[in-house]
Amino acid sequence: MRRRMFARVLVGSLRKRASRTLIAVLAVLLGASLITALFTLSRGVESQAGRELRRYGANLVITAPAARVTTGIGNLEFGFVEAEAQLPDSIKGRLSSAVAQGEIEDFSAFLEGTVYADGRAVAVTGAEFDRLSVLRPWWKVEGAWAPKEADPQASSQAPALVGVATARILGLSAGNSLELRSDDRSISLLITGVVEAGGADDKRVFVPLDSAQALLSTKGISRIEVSVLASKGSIEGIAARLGDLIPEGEVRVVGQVAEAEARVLGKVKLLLGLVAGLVLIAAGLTIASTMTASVMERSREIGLMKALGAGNRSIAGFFMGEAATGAMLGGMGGYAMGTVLALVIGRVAFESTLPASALALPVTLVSALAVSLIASLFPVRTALRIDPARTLKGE
Amino acid sequence: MNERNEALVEIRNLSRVYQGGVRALDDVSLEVARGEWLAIMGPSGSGKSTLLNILGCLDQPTEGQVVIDGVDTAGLNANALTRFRREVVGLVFQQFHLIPYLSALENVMLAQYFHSVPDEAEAREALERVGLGERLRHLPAQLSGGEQQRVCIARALINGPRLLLADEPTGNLDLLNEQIALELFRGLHREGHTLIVVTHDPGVGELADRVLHLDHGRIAKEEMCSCGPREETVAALSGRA
Repeated sequence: MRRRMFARVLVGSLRKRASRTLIAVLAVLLGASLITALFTLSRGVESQAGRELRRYGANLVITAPAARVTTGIGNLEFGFVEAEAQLPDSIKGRLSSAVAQGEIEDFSAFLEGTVYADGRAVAVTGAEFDRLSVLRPWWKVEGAWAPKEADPQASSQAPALVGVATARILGLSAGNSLELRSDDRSISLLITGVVEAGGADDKRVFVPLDSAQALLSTKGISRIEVSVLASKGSIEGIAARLGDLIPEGEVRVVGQVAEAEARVLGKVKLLLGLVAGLVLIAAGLTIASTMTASVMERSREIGLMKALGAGNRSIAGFFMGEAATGAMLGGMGGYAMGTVLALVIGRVAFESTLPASALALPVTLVSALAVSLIASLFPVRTALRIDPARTLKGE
Repeated sequence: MNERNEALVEIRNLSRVYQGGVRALDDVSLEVARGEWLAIMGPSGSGKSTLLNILGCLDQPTEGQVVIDGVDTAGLNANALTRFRREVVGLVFQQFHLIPYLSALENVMLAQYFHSVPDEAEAREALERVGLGERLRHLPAQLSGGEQQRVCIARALINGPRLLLADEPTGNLDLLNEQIALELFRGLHREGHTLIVVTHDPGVGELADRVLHLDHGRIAKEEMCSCGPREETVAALSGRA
């Protein structure tokens, strides 16, 4: 019965001051949404990068050094741009020798470019199809990785895997035919599956490497992903040796790529954290000021409660209860809004669909509660100092 | 001395001095017997409310001793004073002071909440005693002034206080509701409750066993009530329109 009475007073008080309650809840919601977004982003992006590192197996990436192309008109120079360069196909032979000697575990070549389907520009990646399922085990494929041997179409058409975003735009599904065109070539493919990769790969079409080379009129390769065993020596040492073997390419440790991404993520986290911190402080100040105004407005009510025998714990309990209720409401709303915010930031900044983090909810709620209760300390202190004799007299 | 005549309240050399040296009460001594109805009267600024606040443990004396039911309240700290107040004292205010978002029943239960455990049945019974059995779920804004004062009286009595204090309980009531409220006080007095009522109204004062007149913080006059049958006094009050 005591709890029911407590709840009754709490709810009645919050409803009586609905607009002030709403302001406090909105302030908490804003801060809580940023906390959720920050938490979800950092865990999601880190886990995705970690997943790629752990499951990828590839430790090294070989790319062609970017070519600098000078731009200008006549005697006017506008500076230079970096143009994509390619590695020669002959590198594969040298890497195969390295595999045979046990220097590296395995490698796979990729070629990237832009072609057209139904008049729309489409990003295409040529890959060694037989290795894709090993290199990308986290992909969800609706359909099959490769055509069934018994499929009569399989012999006449090269296979293709289409990223889920591109499939949606072009209205494609497994079993459809897809014609890709470049400036002077075209090729007909059989879509064996639609891929949900959870990143930029969702917007690509994957075709066999030789099909891509034919379409793009090149024998070159955009990059080669290499797996090495750590027991063979330090990754950096192996990377240096490969660099000597393939002087026309740049050999980088994948960790460096991840480190670069981690630096970007770290900066985004720092920025979000600063903003979240400032917004939480602002939320705290808003709560403190609305609650102080509430205490002033309710001084007679507080004086009455004291006259009826309410001790400090009871008075403090009511106000802290109001603060906690506002924190929970704002925290839950902030969690929902922050999850959407993380989804949007993930798509825009990282081309990644980040899942909602269940752990973000308790973190957000605890943060919201802490800010609200701390912000309530001063108004509660004021309430406890109210003199019932004076306030009941109307002073 | 029987229990009814035994002193419930003993005040000795009570003074209350506010900041700036204002002497609201100056060396006041008095006793209130159990079951007695004491009226305190006097002009504004005479110290009536200050005396009532000290008796109600809402304030502490600057000097002197205040013994209520054997306990010297002057020596109690704030927490102890609060505990004592909710056990021993019931308060009725001129302005009713009901919580606006709680119903009549909930306002009475709130006093129980601070005392021990809210008991809806007990609170309902208290409101029925004051004639508000049909208005339990009404908010204060839905009650007349007289009904609000009756809720206030029910609230003041719910925890079985030994001392009932009322500060101008009929000051905001029309004559009809004043009569109803005074009848309630008379009933309580007959039941043996100890009442101390601050009032401006001589007619209300005449209902008491004893009237204390204060002036500039001191007891100016004390008189035993020698009026006729109380029913006549109450009727006379209602006929003053």
